[in-house]
Amino acid sequence: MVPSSLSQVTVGGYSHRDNNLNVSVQEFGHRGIRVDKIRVVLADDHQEVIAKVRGILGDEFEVIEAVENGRQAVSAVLALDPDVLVTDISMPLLNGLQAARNIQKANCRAKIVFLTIHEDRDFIVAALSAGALGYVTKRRLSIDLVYAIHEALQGHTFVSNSKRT
Amino acid sequence: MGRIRILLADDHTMICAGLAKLLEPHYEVVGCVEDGVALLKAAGALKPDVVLLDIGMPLLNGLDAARELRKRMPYVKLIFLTMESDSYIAAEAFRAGAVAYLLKTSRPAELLQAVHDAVRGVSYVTPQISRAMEARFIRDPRALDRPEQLTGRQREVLQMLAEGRSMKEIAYVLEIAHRTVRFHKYRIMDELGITTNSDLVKYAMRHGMISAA
Repeated sequence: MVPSSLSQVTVGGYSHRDNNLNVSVQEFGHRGIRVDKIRVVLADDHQEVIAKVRGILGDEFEVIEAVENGRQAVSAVLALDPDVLVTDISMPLLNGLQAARNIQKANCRAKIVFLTIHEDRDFIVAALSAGALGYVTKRRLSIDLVYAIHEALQGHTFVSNSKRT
Repeated sequence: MGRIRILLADDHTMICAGLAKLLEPHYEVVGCVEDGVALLKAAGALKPDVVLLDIGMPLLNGLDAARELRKRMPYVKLIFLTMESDSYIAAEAFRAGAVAYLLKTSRPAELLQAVHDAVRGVSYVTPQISRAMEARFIRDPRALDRPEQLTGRQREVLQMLAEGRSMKEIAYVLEIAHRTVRFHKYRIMDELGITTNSDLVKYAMRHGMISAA
């Protein structure tokens, strides 16, 4: 299925894409007309993590907002309509799982990828239950995050391997 | 665009037949296989959009079949439908590439919802499992601040309790007072939010401290 008109894509700006069509930026890629970057909102209460993630996300991404708690994450996603939210779990005011659930309930099209230190399998199930598609552990950040985001944009799940396996 | 094509994998023929009946008004059921090896073969030949699979299947189990399918056909949406209600197994299923996880005790409407969500790139976890997670992490955010971190001594005590040893015996082995063992036991139960001995055993089993056999 392709979008009815490619004029939906605007140069240098952001165009709304119908969630039901599940058209991601990548799908325009083979036509050589990819004009906009993948717009990302980051949520983590540690500035070092935000800085590290910015460093890992290459040119194809644009970090449009970085916030430090779950409440701000929900507001940013609702206001900015990003392609992806990359969020921590343990954060002040509203944790990442609560934020994800609120975003899911608001029917936002943003794909959610968790980035967390938690390796406990219950957190994985909680994250997927809250509407996330990606679950990346901070230990595997540099290896897994970009892949997990691409998978999420295609509507696929991705969960980092544990150190036990 | 054609109808969404679904391949079923379950070693219980009646279940397959029931699922096909449930799905067919909305989707095209392209086949039903009864083991993991047959699943890989059929998926390669039939190229379904969605695979609905069980975990416990002969020859090759559903988790391993899913891992292999994901490598061979990364675009296929994998939906587990199983009797395994343990979140530990559910997490493994997601790690193997599942986009949805349902139980055989789930309502039929959930299956249609899960397929609907899956083809749109939205994950689905049956409320039978997600509700417990929601209670633990979403409605009680403090649960995040008390991760299940037991001390070394607590883990020793837990393992022996789960092995069925008495508190007296544990006290003897660890060379500590009987009341200290009791103290550890209640701290462990408090830490894990567990109230019964059988749940202690289950916890130890799930975390590989004792084997299920």
